[in-house]
Amino acid sequence: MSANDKPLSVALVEDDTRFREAFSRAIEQAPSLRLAGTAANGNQGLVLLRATQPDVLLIDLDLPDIPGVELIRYAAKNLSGCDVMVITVFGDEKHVIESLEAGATGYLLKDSLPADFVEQIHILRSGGSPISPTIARQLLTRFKPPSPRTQGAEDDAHLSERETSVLNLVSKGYTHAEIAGLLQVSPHTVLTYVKRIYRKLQVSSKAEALHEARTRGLMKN
Amino acid sequence: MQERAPTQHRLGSFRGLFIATACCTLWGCVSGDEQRSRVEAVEFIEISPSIEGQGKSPPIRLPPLPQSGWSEKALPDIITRPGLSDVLTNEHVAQPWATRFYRTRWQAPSTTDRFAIYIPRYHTTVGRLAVYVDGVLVQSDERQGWNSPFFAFFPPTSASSSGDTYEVVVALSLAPHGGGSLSTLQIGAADDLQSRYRIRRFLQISAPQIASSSFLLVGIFGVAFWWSRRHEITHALFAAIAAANFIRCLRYSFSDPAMLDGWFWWFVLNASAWLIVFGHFLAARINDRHYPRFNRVVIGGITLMSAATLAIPVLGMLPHTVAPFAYIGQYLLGIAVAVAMTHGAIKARRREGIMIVGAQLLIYAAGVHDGLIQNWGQGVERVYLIPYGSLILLATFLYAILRRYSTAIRDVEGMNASLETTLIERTHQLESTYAKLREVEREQAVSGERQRLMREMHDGLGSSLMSSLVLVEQGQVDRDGVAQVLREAIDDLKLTIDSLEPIGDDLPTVLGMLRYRLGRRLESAGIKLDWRVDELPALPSLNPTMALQILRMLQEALTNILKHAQAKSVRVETAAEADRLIVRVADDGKGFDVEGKIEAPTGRGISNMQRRARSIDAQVEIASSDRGTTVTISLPRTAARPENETSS
Repeated sequence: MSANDKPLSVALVEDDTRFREAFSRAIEQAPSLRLAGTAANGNQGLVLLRATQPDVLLIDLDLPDIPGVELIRYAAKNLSGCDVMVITVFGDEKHVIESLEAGATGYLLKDSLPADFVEQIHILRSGGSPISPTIARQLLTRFKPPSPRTQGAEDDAHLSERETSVLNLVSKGYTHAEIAGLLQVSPHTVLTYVKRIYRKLQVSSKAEALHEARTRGLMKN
Repeated sequence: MQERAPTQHRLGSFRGLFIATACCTLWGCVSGDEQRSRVEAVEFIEISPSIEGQGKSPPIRLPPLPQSGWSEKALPDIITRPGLSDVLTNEHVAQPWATRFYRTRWQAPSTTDRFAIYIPRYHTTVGRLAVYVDGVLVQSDERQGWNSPFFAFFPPTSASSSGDTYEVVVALSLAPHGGGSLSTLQIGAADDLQSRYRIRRFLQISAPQIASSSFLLVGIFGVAFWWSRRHEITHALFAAIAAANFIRCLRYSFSDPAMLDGWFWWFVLNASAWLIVFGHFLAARINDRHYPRFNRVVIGGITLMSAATLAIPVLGMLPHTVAPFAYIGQYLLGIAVAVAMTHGAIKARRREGIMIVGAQLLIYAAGVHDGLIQNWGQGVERVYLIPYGSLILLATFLYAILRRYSTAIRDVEGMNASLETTLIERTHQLESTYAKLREVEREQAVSGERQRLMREMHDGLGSSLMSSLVLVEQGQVDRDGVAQVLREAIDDLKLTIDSLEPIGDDLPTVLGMLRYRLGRRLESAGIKLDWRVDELPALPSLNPTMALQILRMLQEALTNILKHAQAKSVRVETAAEADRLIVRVADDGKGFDVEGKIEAPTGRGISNMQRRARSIDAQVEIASSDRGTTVTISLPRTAARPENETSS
């Protein structure tokens, strides 16, 4: 799907009124975006998601009634075409990793300039929003380096060599465009790598949860 | 003393003495037989010189004896021929060998046809005993025994026997100045007497031999123990006592003439004295009593005695001429040691001590008993008791070893238990100490972190907000200006938070964060960013404080470029040198007078950078010309953990 076909529908779940209004205005002003609806808490958000089935969900993790992560999981599981973007003040590691594991594929800083903000939604849609260097560093530590046997093969538990290179360059502060140049691939390919990394994070977190459940005896084989 | 009433010497009279030996039952089962005669009165004559001469074998046939000169003699007969006083006064010199003949007629009962004669005890210093029945030698004692009972069968039918009456003559030869004794004779059914003889032999010779041998084994154990633990003198004394006891007891069982040379007698005579001295040392050690002067006297005395008795093996003197002096010395020694030991045991009140001393006193009593038999002829038919001292000593030592062993095991068990308790206590103490220490460390860390954040808020966010407040109140700024100031404040805050993220020891990630936060501001100001951050070796000393100081220095450099440099592009690059990592920020702006800025600062920018660099042992260099400014930050690689350079 191309951004030019029709505007992306965006749902917004945010309990802070002023931010909600500021984001709503920015979405409405962007021709490529359409505001599907807004919600001030998690339950309203669920209703909104079921009713509108948006292309993009913008969500604050810190909701008054239910944790934002729950909504992210719901969207990731039930809305196949929906990309989830977390709204966070600082993009700090704990919150970001948690929401990426739940199924989010990007995050948005609250102080983003309006112009950035629209652009980032499109970047998210075409791949994954940029990972901060700190989080890239965390992901490199988290995923084991590919073993010689599995190198090059598609593997959900390990990062490929290219994916590792992308994360490595991200952690040093390089932009997606610079990475594309350094790796001699197109910017779009870099975005594909990033999206794949997000997906693997989600998969690996599920695998971890399964493994943990087994070892604790919560589940039978 | 020869006139003593015979009834005093019945075998039954010493039965009570053997209760401790557990042999009384054996004894009891053969007493009360009617098929024997106990001869307590005989005809007696002494002929000098002896019939066989100087210790030769007695003749096969009894030589003709004088018809007259016989007298009545009650048995036992105690012969005190030489006497101690005679030895001392040299009146014995001309004394010849002599033979005493004891004659009795015995009526054989009709119920039995096999007879024997049994003599429980006789004693002749170096002479012999021979028994003649109807004038024919039945048997003579070839072994010069002094502790061995005598037993001999009668010939079934004697040619010269007159009917059922036999003439029995016992001939006892006596050496010059050698004494002797003869107990009652027992003549009767062979089977009965033989079993009596065997029991007597067992009690008198075999049992003591077994006891002293067993004790010697314990002594060997003592030596082995002492060999591995030389400071345990007690065990060596055990061994010495066992050895001395064994030697002393040899005389009760050894009667092979070949062995009875001077050295044998020297050892046997002195062993008793050594035993007394070793026993004294042992008791003193166990009771922890020390008698240095007494010990010197005792050692001196025993050395003298041992040296004096060397006369037997070296000068060839006859043992029985020397023995009385040795015995007197031993009795004196024994009395002195007994007093000292008893005193020590009473003072110390230790169970082992009392037992050891008690055992020795018992043996002393046995020694007196045996001395009365041997030297004064009292109760000749009694069994010597000193050999049974081995049993008492053995029992006492075994008890002491057992007690010591079980005490040691109990001690070890107790020690293990208490060690375990102590260990648990110590572990708890350590744990609580560590917990306190951790708490203190945590508090210190928290307090340090709190101070750092406060300083950051005060210098960074606080001052930004304060200056924007002043600007807004004075109405000097428009909306964009306020937004600009607030963005800077938020950037400050983000960098502070970023510095707290766990990034390990990776400097490029710190630089990456800087670009992530500030890169957009450079780009929106139209400045091209030439990012050349390479793979760098690990920086082990990199912690949140250091990361924040590096971020602040670079932030300061970039802010200066934004505000003053009018640059078109900025290059950020890294390099690794042997002992340091380099971060360089170079712009192509108009530059400034570095010297002038440092001497007359208009802001706190440069001095702040230098203060921050100093606080993390880093160096900052600023070089500027009209073609641009270069800020170089050098970070030492080997500050904290130089051995960790190669980690990721």
